[in-house]
Amino acid sequence: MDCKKARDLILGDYFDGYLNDYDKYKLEGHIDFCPSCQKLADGVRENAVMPFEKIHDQPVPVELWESIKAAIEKKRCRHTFKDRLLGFLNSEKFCYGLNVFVDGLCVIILVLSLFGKVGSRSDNRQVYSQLDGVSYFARSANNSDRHRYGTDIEKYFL
Amino acid sequence: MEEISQETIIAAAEGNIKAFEAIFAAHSSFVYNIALRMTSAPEDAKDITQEVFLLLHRKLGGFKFQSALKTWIYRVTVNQTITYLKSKKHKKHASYDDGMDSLCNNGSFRQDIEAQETVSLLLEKLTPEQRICVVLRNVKGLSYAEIADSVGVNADVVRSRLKRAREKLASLKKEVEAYGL
Repeated sequence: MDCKKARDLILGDYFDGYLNDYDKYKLEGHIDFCPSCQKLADGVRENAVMPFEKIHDQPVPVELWESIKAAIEKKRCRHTFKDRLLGFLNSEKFCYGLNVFVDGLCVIILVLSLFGKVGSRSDNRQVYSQLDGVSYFARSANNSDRHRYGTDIEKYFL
Repeated sequence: MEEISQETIIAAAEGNIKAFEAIFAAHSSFVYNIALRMTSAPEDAKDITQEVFLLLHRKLGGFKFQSALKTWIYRVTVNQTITYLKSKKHKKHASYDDGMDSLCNNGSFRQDIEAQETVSLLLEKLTPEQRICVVLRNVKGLSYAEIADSVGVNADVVRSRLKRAREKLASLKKEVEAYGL
């Protein structure tokens, strides 16, 4: 067995216990006579295998389940509120209320639009009175300029 | 780890808190200890365990029974732990002593803490991806296939990550000796 193959097995199957007896025998024979592979095997054993064999599972903190349960309950309460809200939105009472509200809104819009029309009518009246004023001034101007502008023919036609 | 029946899983998915507690009792030790080895901090491990079980509670309704619940929990745990390690939440690193000293001060327990510290020191030298493979293989004794299933890669990738991790750990020999461990 060469060092490349031995190195591959030391880092992989050898310490995982996946090596068959024949390969294990060959590898251990190589390790006995190869200082660099021996050093690698010692390093893996001391740092990647043995320390992990000394540790044990730690107990789960007792308060952990309580905090998870509390978080689940909190979430459920939030869901309950959402469900209640959706239930209310689908209820007959809410639909009736919504109808009344929409009807009321329509009436208000109607009334406002009527007032708006009355308002626009008074605006029109103001414009008409302004036009009347303009035509009065135009007439008076024509009267004052009668002697200075136009020929006899124009006067005839005007 | 006791096997959870299909009825219990269905009941838990329907909101039965007792059934969910049974799932927690059966799998919380695995989840907590994986998180503890990966983060080396009991508070972080508690956070991860809580996140894992809240996620399970939320997603249990969609569990299709195509794989074992155990495998699904392994996968969720691995994903949550690696995400946590890569996120800013993980602070480097609270000692085991922080959470354990108050519990007991006898000699064997002290030795246990020292062993935990050694493992923690060694695991910190690895990337999260290598670390999870080492923890699942060396601490929990999972096969390459089971690790591959949990991590979501194929068995050759697991083998390769374990080799790289062991190579790195073997090269740390002198450094660890210098710590007097």
